[in-house]
Amino acid sequence: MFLSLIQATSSYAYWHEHEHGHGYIGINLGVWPGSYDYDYYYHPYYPYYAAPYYYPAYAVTSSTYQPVVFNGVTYYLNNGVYYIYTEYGYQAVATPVGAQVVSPAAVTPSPVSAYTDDSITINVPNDKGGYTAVVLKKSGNGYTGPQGEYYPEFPKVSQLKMMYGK
Amino acid sequence: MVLAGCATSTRYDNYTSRRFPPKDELYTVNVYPESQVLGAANPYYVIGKISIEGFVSSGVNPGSLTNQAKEIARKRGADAVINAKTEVFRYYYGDELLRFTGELIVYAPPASK
Repeated sequence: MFLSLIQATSSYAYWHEHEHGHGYIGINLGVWPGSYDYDYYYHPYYPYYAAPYYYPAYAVTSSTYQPVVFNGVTYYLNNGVYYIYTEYGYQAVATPVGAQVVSPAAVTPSPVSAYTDDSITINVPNDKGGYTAVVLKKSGNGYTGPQGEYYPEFPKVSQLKMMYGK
Repeated sequence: MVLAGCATSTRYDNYTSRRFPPKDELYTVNVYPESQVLGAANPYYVIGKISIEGFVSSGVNPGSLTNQAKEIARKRGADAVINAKTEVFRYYYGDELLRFTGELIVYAPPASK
């Protein structure tokens, strides 16, 4: 992934002496926003070489600012703080009205039911990580399922999951 | 003969093309960890991200990395470092790599040219 990132952008490398007498290798990648500068400082007598093992971590730097749009304005969320991007960098702003930090689990729809006079819809968790809508119709004192099965009492979700949760 | 010096590698990611006047060497740069979030009540701009790393065997420790980050922050004209953390990567041959990461900020309004 990182290699493709390099290939997709203009890049150059350079080498020269550091102002304090140490040498360093510099690589500049033209990746938005801003530019990346790598400076591998080393002591002249210490055989330290930059290894590629940590390159992938750098490729995701800009992704720490997750863009979110509220009322047509693009905000960037990082560590629970909202920012807007300006010419000076990311400016911290107050949390936009209506915005809240939600975890992926929080946005997963929980089982809900839609009730009409003679039927009720149950969203049963399935094996695919989603939900299967199961419509139960009132039948006398009990309920009838989609496959014609009869439940003398309102069935538990675990019961429905056995039949419709596949 | 190998002399273990202060061998660190640094990387700085610019978030803006703007440059800010360097701070005086006596300027105190505060370092805030990830757990200490600055509120928007005190407006600031995040101008870039810094990463410094080095091996323990070469004399690097979390304190030295933090001090180096402060020094770079001053040179970059930053007021503080936020989202700071130091990670430890252990190697099979017993050495440890310490990596400090943080983001440089300037308090608004920015004092740039």
